[in-house]
Amino acid sequence: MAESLFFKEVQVDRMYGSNFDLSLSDLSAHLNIVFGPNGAGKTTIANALNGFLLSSAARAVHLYATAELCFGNRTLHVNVKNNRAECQIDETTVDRSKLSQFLRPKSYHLSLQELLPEMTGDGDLAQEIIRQANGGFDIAKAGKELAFSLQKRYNRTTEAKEFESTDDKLRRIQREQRHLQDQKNQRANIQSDLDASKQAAERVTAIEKIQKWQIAEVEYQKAAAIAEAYPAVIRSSHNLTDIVSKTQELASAHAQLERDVDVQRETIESTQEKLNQNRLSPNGLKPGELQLLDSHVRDCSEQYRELEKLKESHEAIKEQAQEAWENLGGHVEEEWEPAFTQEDLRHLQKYAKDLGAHTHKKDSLEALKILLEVIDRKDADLSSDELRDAQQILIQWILDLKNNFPQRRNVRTLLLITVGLSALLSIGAGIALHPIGYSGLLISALTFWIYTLLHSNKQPRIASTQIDKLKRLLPELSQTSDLDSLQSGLSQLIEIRSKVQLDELKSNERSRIERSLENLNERESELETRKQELVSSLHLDDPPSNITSLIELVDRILNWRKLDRKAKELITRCNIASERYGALLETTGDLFAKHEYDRPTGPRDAERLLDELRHDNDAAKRESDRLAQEKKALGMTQSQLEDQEFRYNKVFTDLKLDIGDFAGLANCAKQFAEWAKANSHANELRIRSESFQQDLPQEHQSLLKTEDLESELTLAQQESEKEKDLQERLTRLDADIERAEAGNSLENALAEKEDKRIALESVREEKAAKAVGQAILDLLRENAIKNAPLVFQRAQENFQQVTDHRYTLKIPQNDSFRARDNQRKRDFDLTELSSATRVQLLLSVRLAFVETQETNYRLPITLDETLANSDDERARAIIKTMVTLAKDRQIFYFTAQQDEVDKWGDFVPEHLLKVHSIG
Amino acid sequence: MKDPLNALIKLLCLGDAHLGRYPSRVPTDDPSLSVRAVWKLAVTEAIDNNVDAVILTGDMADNNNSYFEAYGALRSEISRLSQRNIPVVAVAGNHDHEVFPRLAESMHDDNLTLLGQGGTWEEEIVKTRSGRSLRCVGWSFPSAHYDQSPLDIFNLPQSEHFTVGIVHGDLESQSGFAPLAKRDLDAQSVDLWLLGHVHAPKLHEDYRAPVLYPGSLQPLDPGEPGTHGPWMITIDDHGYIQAEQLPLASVRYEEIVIDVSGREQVGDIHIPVVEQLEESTAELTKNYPLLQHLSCRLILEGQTRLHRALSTEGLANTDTYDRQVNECSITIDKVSINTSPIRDLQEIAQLKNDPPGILARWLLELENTNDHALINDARDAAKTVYSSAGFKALGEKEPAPKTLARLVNQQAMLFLDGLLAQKEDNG
Repeated sequence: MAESLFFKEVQVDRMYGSNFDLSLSDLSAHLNIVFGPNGAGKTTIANALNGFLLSSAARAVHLYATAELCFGNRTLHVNVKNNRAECQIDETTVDRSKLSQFLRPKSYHLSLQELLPEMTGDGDLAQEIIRQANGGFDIAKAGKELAFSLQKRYNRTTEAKEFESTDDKLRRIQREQRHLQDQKNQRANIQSDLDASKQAAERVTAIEKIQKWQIAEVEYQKAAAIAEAYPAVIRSSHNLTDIVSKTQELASAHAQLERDVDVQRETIESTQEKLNQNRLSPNGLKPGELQLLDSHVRDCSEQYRELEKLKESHEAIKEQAQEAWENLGGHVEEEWEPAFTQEDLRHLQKYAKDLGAHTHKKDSLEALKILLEVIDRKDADLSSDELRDAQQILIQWILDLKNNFPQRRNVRTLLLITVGLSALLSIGAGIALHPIGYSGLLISALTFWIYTLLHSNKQPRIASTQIDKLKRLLPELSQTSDLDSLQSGLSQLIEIRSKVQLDELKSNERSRIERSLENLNERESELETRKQELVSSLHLDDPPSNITSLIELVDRILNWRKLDRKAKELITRCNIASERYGALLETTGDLFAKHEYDRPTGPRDAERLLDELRHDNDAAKRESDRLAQEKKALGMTQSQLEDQEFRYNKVFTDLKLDIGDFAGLANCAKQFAEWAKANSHANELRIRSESFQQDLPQEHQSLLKTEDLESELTLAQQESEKEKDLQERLTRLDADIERAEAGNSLENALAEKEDKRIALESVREEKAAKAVGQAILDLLRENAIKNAPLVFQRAQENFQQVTDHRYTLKIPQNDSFRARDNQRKRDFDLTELSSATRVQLLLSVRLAFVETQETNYRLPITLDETLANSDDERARAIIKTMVTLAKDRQIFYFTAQQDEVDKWGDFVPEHLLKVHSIG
Repeated sequence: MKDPLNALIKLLCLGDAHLGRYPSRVPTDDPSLSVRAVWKLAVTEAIDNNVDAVILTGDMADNNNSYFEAYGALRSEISRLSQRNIPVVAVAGNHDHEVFPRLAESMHDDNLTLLGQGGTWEEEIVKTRSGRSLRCVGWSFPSAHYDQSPLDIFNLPQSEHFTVGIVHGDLESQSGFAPLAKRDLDAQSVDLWLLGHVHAPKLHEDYRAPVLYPGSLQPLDPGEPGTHGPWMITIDDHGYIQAEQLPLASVRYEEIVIDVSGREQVGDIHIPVVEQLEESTAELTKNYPLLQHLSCRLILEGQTRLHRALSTEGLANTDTYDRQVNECSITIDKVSINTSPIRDLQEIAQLKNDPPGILARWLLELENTNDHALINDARDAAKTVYSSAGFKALGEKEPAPKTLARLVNQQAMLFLDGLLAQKEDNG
């Protein structure tokens, strides 16, 4: 066991920056009680003691003090001056490092003085002890921060309740669906029951129909028997309901028919008389006769109108011929026939036309000749009428030529000549004076056109193509190359050449005119010969010399002959028409006469007769038809009369009555009405019965043979009454199945349960995690404590020692110590122990811990009024424990209470105790 | 008889729809998010594409809701296919081994063919529109469990026609749901295997004949992330197969991993998280226009001094997060804190008998073993929670080993960090 280190003397000079004069001397190596009032310096001394043992504590309080300590047989003298400390062992100064063997280890922070005031209870103290035992790691605290917890039981959470609720809901839906499935499995049976019930319902209907038919049949048979009871004559009658009135009607109808017959006979006689008076009686004209007559009358009228027209034409032509003959002036006889014809007239006309043209041409040439001569004559009278006439003739001739010869080139040539001549005249006499001076203007315009053409913007083309052409036309210009020279040369050339060409033209024209005049003279002789030949061919006694008059005469003669011949032809045609008309009128008269009508005198008369005949014809046919109809009607009326008579008689004979017995007839009618009613009723019942019979279902024919239909009906009704219920069940079931198949309630319930399950699992995992954490914590604590066995071995020794082996310390659990009562063989935790035992246990542990932290020496322990709040028992236990433990350790107890001092004195042997009073 | 040339076969393949079940962790008031809605879309797709047949690889109905709701949805849509003369060839899975035979019996026309009833192999020749013959061989679950390989009893002869094998089973697994081995699949004279049971869509092309798991039609929980929908399969006259997934699913689960290393404040994390979330959604809706709801699981990773704060306080406002991006609603299903504190376990383990040292040594030991006092104590503690009245309804008595290990590691790390922080906080 380690030696004890204890203070012999202590002197405190300065602390907390204040000076003190506190000292303790002759200190016990075991128990020292420092007694003094509050403020006497007890705590200062306690801190000073601590400061000697822990250098850091000394620095903290700025300690200046000296102490003498003993260990073994040696003395340690310490002089602390704040941060510095001087040490001497047995008068020998030692290095500060040597002090470490005496001082508290760094990890040793525990002292009772420090601990007890801070701890709120024994549990906290235990925890702190354990924490320190665990190297300063507070396992319990760490577990608490992580909410580690292992409960003995875990009650149902909200999530668990929700999960169970959803599970219940799910089970309920599953039950419903299982139930529905069971019902679905039974569906075939329900369907089968339903089918049977439907068949029963059909059987009920069939039985009811059979019963209905049977009743109807009985009713019919009864009614039929009643009807059959009437006399056969009544039953066999058709209808006697209104027999009396009908028979009376028959009688009156019969009388009326007799009157009708008389009237019809009178009508027939009257019609026959009318027919007898008609010339065309009895049936009018034969088919086609009227059309023939109508045709003849129309032909007569037309022929008559044509004849009249021919006569009018003959008179007109005859007058024209007479007038034409008179216009000839009596030169010819009325019956003269000339030898010439229209052809001769045309020859004469052609001769006259040729002669006219010849004369005209000759005049023109002569006029041109005159004009040329005038030009040649410089001294000619420019204003002479001869010249003016020649010009007019010439222009007129040219215009005629233009009309007769449309070749424009020739015209242009002639015009050019004319213009050239006029230009010369205009040059000689001046434009203003000469009547044709305007021709000079044309020449000037022509010159100007050429000039402008050469100066136009078409010059390049003229230079290339037109110039070549000009050069070809005017070889004199071939030596000239430039355009300006060409233009000036051209102007000169035009002037020179115009003049030369005009001279040439004049010469040529003059020659040509001469030749033409010669030809015309020859032609004139030929025409004269021809004229003579024509006149001689006319054989006229004194033909006119003038050709125009001759032509006119010939024309008139020929016209007269034409009219005369036409008048004669018309007379011939009139005669023929007259003959034809006479024949037609005769034939028409024959036709009229055939039917005893007068012969017509003319067309109008014929038409009148035809109208009369047409009227007679219509009347004959109409009366004839009416006669036939009346006869036919009479026949029918007579037939009806007979029929009525027959029926009237038959009414009575059929009923075996005398004819005319209306009283008997009335009686029969009454019986018949009664029978008819009974018969009708029987028929209705029969029809009803038959319809019921037809309505009987074929598939239930066997029921007809059933004797006890009532029982069968009752059974079937009972069976069929189930149908509605079964049908409803089936419909409901099908709807439920359809709804269930289309629904998702189970699916949702499963999903909901799954979600709740996950939530509950999450809670469980969270709890499990905390429980696992707690398990880790427990195991760690157990192992940590196991790894610090010395502390608890020592604590156990201490505890056993202070309790006289009544208790044994158990390994701490749940941050608390436990003690085993060896007498009672039972474990107790701190809260279950008595306060005395508890303090014994804690002090045992605490001191054991202190001891395990000490390295070489047992160090002093300080207690500051530890017993202040303790009852006697607890105080006694503390004192007893401390005495036990203080046998080999110095202990300081600081108190201001005398009674505490006394308590210590009561339990501590004197040789171990020293009381030091201060203040 | 030889098949005509240039005759394509078009099939629409789907399975594991689990009709009658609704995707978890998504709003339940939206019919368009239901499996039924996607099933209708798939059928419309089949009609629009004029496919030769629709192949159903089992578990079309969920066994928890097979009486009416799943049954009704199946029947109505198969009737719609019948009206268009599109044959349906199906096998029953472990979930719908009872409902499919009932459905096949109630459908009066022969448009629906359920292959392999009662756990036998059966074949059906489908005449395609192009005149080719397609041979379908299939096996159906006879009961909810079947722990033998269905291929052990495969007894159908070879055929000259292109053959599609349809079976609901677990590939390369020894589970109680028709385990299927690669060598067994390769041994059969089948040109294409269409399987059901695994909800993650996958086309295995490393087999003799391609093996396609079409996956769940609509993802059903956060454990089924990624793209889902039916598959359009085209087979040309040379037997060349093209399989294309049609992303018709309206729901998508996504895990978004966010590295929070270097973050100094918890408040700094929220905005980047939201930005990344909405960016990811915008990209997804661009590629998958039919997507209507995105349920995200955020995973925070990285070494950070915020580990303890994040683990104890979580990320604020994620529970109530509800946004719309391009008409696609977004919710945050869960925030997983997979961060770690900036601690060196090896160094801390040197602290001999101090609690952090002990704890660090345990964590290092747990990296290599599960047989540890810590695990045992933790299991006992967790059992107390699991088996208490509050959680009895969940029906588990203790966490799965993996869960327990995760909890232990998570809490031990937090504890370690908390302990070390005590001294750091005190200076």
